[in-house]
Amino acid sequence: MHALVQTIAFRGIDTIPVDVQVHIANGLPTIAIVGLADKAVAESRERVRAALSSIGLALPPKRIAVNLAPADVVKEGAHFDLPIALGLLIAMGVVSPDAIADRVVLGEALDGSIQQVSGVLPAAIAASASGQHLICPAACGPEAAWASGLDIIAAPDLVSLLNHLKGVQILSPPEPKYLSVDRNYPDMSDLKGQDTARRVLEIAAAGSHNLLMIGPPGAGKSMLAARLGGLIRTRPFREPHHSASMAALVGGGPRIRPDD
Amino acid sequence: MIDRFDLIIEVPEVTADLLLAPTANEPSHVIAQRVEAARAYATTRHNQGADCVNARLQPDQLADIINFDEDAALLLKTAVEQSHLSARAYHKIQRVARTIADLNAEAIISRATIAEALAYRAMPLLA
Repeated sequence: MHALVQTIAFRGIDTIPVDVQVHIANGLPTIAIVGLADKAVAESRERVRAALSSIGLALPPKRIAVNLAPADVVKEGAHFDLPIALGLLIAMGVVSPDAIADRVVLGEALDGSIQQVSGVLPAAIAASASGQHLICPAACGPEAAWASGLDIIAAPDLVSLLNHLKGVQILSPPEPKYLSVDRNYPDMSDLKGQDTARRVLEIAAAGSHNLLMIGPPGAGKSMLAARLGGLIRTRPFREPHHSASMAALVGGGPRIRPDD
Repeated sequence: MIDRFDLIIEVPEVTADLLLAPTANEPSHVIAQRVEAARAYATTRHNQGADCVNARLQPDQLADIINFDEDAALLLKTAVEQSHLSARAYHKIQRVARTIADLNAEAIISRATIAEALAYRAMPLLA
């Protein structure tokens, strides 16, 4: 019993197509994920097991091998859960392989629900460019919908995804929207006074201008800066220590990831 | 270095009266709506794509986009002469003025707008 599901790995915001190959054979019951999977991907074994049991399915007591090909590309992130789960379901004969033949799949799964992952838009663009379609978490649907020319299934949970693939209950395609996830910025109404500064912050937000605030300690400069993100959506606020070196600000980490 | 900032302002200490004042300032979501409207106004004005924000307007785009009325042009000229503003500062003031006019949904930049933009270059503070 063999199954193949397509997904992607990220290198920066570039995407690399990855095949998830699931093979179920007779032997001692184990499940192994191979193919340069990092810790988060290796742990997907437990999440997928939990996800399947939440929809009333148990993994077959057989030797299950999950290979992520090409084997020489490092795979990071939790978005391999859903392709692995679907691969298992195909190999178990629950889902027809034709249902997802030309689809790129990504999503995190633990209980039956499919959790939001980062990097859905680059994935959708890559899928569209290669003439494929997409399966992603429902929460990411509005983000993926910005890519055009592809059919997107944005499923909130495994059950509704399976029903959609079987044609029992069709999910409506997502509409492009800005992320509604509020990064929970503090509010401008917390500030007392500082009318000029508030006005200038508004101007800076409207035109993406840079801004230098000069004033004595405690006047509210950092309070103002922290609230800029609430004025223009989707801009993260970083508060580096004033003694941070140039290398500390621009460097750090072996790879950049989507969403930072 | 300091010349490279678009906006330079002084943030003074808050007086005790203001700190104790019960009135709440405008909440973020109200300001965010104005910001979004200004950005939308800017994109309809120059069809350079959504990413083209005022802060990154190039000098040739500035020349195409920026319309002053006569008073405004005169004020800007005087300011450049009297404060010995650099060419960079001259462009930066135009960009900031454009943003202020966008917030007011004005196609033509007025004298008051230029004056406001000039006020946000608090260079004397650093002298």
